[in-house]
Amino acid sequence: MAARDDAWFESLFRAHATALYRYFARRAPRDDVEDLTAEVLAVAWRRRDDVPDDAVLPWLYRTAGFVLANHRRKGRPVPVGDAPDEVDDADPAELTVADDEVRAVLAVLSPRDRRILLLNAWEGLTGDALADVLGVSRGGADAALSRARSRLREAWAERLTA
Amino acid sequence: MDQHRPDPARDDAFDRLRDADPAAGLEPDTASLDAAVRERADRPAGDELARARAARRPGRWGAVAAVAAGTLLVGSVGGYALGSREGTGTGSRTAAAAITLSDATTGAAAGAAESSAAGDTAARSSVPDAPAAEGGTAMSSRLLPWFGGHTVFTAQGLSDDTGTAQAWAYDPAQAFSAETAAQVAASLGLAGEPRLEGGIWLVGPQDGVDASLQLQPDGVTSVSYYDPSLDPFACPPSLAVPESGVEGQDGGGQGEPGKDAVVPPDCTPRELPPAPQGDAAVARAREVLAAAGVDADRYEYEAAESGTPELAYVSAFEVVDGQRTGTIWSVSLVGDAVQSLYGALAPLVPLGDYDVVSENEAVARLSDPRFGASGGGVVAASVGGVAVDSDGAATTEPAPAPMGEPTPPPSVTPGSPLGWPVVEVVLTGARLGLAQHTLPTGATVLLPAYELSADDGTAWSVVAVADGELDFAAGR
Repeated sequence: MAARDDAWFESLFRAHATALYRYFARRAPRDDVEDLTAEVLAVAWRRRDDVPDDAVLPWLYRTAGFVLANHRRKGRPVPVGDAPDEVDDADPAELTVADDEVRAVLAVLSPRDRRILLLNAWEGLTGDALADVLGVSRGGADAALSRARSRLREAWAERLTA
Repeated sequence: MDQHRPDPARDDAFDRLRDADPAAGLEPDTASLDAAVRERADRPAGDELARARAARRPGRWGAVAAVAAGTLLVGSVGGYALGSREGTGTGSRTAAAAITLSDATTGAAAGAAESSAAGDTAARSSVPDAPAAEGGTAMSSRLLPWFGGHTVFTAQGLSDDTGTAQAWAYDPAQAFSAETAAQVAASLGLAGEPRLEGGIWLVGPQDGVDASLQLQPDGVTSVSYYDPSLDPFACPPSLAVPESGVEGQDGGGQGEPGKDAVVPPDCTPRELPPAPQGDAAVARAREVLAAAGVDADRYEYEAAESGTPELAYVSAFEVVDGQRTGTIWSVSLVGDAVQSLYGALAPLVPLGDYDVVSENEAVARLSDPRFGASGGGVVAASVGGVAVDSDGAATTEPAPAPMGEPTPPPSVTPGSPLGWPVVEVVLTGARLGLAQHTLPTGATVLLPAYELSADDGTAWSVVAVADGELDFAAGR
């Protein structure tokens, strides 16, 4: 395991701060984004021995999901205590998306479908990384993504013909 | 040739979702974020890194001397259009753009070494070869009448301060070896012993069927890797065996076999796993560079839209002292695997501080035949009816004459002054940066160079190193 020192953290910051920032910018009010990002990075430092050598970004995204859930529950960013069972980081009411059609279509999908669609469409996650963030098997993630995209297409088509 | 392309199901819904990303291209204020993290994590602010960071102050020489490699510093981007359109898509872009010098003045030494070294530099930031201001130099076909016209440069509001700046050299001796070739090959899962052929280190068969790697003996130790089996647009090579009964060649059903019968290659769309996109692609590209022995933190990354879910393209721009150097790695990903890789492995070694001329002297150099002018038409403009793209090349045929049909030019009036257009350019901006350049020996260096700009954003570049530190007799 690489030494978890300042240099390691600096490298992690440089590599992933922007991705985390964008994750929150998509899901939280702009005023909270920096705080939420800082909280995840602070957790990465405090729990640096838990951060895996590879697959760092998925670990950060998982942590980000928990931080976001706690934030929504308590109305302000708080340190991660017990992880909630189900992370819903794709609540359409909370997304900062400007395209109302997209927001409306997302609203008719299940929270699970929404979550995986956004992690794929916006965070660009696929394969093992996506499975890692979701905490499921690779096969399960592939299948879930495929189903979610299919349901998105159906919902979109329905909306267009409505 | 639709046969060659995979056919990803058109998914307008997904495209619309992806396009609706509210954070595309968004950048954090890294200084503020860093402070917020320290506050929360009780990381002492008195450590070496923070002290070093606090000690940096932007100044005239700040862009070059003060900012350490790899630090994201918001707001330090040069303000000019030149080079600012390097790539689109997700990524982090905070270093100043690489400056490109016209190498029309390096003469024969340019040649192969430079073109392979320059192969990695972004074509999008290249500038057309401009004639020396004295005229008489042949114009390249990409030049426009605008730049072919004689240009007079005047400086306005620029400084007389001289100073020094760090120069760098790429050291291929450290990278060009069997060991390096073997390490990079191994990191990509390519088996085989490196062999030296024609001065190039090769790993893998060079047959266009299996993956292969090459290490070039150029100034930056260019490396290239390509795996045809992962290319969604490639077809497996066909054995063009004439068969009797092959139909479809002439629309008839005769099926005459013969030497001329051509069997269409068997090109079914390949089933390939989707590639990571956006930030995930960037993360993967970082891993790839690191595994190849490169310091991935010295680069800025941009993921570009490939248009197909199977492929992702990431460009990594080398940064030194807050400047992009012009060295670019290109990584294309299919699933988790690298489909192709192009980069430069030679490390940079500092050459020390070199005296640099003042901004006003730099402007004067544009009219000095020893330095020439490297003109860049960086803003789209229409000059003389010809549209200009950011490379200064004509993008389309000249706009049709307003009257529609060509007519002979008007007769010249006897005794009238003869048109001799001279362009006057007032340069109001100067940025000291780095430009990649090939010496007569073939070595590639990063030279302090000025980017001089006019108010309309048009920019010219010129080497900044003072006369006393240049060897004008070299190569004679």
